[in-house]
Amino acid sequence: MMAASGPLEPVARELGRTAARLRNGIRFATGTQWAPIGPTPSRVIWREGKAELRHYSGHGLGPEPRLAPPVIVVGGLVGRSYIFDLHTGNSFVGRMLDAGFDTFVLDWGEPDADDSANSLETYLSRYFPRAVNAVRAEAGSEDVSIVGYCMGGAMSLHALAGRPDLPVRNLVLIATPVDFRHLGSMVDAVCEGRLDPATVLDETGNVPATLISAFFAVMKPTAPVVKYANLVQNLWNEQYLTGYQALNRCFQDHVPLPGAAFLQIARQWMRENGFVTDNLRLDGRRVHLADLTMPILIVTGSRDELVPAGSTGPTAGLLTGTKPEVLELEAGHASLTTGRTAAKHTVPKILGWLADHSGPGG
Amino acid sequence: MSSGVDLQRFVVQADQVIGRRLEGMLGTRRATDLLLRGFRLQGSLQRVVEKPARVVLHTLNMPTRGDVAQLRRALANTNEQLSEMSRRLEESETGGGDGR
Repeated sequence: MMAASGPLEPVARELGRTAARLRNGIRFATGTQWAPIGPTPSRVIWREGKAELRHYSGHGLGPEPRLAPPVIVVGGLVGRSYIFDLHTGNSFVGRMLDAGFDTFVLDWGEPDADDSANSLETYLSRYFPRAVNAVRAEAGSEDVSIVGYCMGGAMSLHALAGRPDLPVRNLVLIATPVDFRHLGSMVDAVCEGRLDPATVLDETGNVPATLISAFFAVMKPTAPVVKYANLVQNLWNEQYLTGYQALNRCFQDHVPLPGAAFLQIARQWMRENGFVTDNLRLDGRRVHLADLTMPILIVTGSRDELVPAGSTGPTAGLLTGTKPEVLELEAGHASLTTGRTAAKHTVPKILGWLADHSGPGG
Repeated sequence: MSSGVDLQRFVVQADQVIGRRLEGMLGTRRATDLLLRGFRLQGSLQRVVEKPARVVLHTLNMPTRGDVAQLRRALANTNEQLSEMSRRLEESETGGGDGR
């Protein structure tokens, strides 16, 4: 078929796109999957409760690592860990593998009533150190590096404050809140005592995923409208659809938060603002961020509306046992690790710092 | 200019005007309290709706979903206590608990 040229070219292009929009619209509505979940091959090397640790390097699955120590990527309790492996061509894990890191992801799992009694001690004193040791055994390494994203960063900080003896060579904190007075009206309601945290637990004893989704929806109420307008405009573009589907699924698909852990978080992290007021506890004893001595990189996004500058700003000043470096990047919450901005600007800087603080491995 | 781009431009402009205001409104103390009250009301309504089924099942001496969840929570508590006791015992034996 001859391609239209001259004055008819834009009309022909728009007609072609309209046809593609119609075709893809039907496929989208009928549930076509453009982006399979977690496409990078991995194998589970450790499991406890619902938590599991996935290894992406070597063993015929991924490239052999060129850098040491191995790196554990830690996400939060309410999100899906596949945010680190969204889709082929847009995978934080994939970029880590390309850069030569021995890469592991710690997935806390999806809790149900059987996990309602899981406390901060369960995750930070039990799972976290055991996952670190599983990685050391798997990689034959004396120590590890940790990359914590969002709530995963706060959990890593709290865990390492409780166990400063854990062999962690480097710590990277991406979009990690420490001052919980800047995280929006829902968190304010807990901080100010207007919301009794126990009243939001459902019959399984956990904070339901629907409430967690509502928490995020309230922060950006018109986001779905903008999102759908962008979708309609780009419905002809399958590459866009792949990215849209992967990211949309990830940010809509929350998991319940175990009730016992939430009650501790509400009290220590939110009401007492424990990171800032040096009032964190684990295993019934006070723990201190000042006890962390490893090199630390704090990464913030200047356009991050979910974890704004006010909530990350105090971090460097609290880590008095080391000299943390702060990297403020021109990015939003998601674009620190995913998307084109991440591929070109943010992830190379983060991984560059980590490579500078690593050595040859393999 | 395509209709898609027009729509997107319109929505982005509308979002800048309406979205910020809406965020401001929903971010107020009153709106948050109202949302949370709505959420709790939803839970209460669910319990009211489920009550007849609960009465019937209990009359037949059968457990409801809530009873099973309660039992699972109780078991989770016991399981968690045992796991914590086991960890602390392990830590006291190894002097660190991480097996190093």
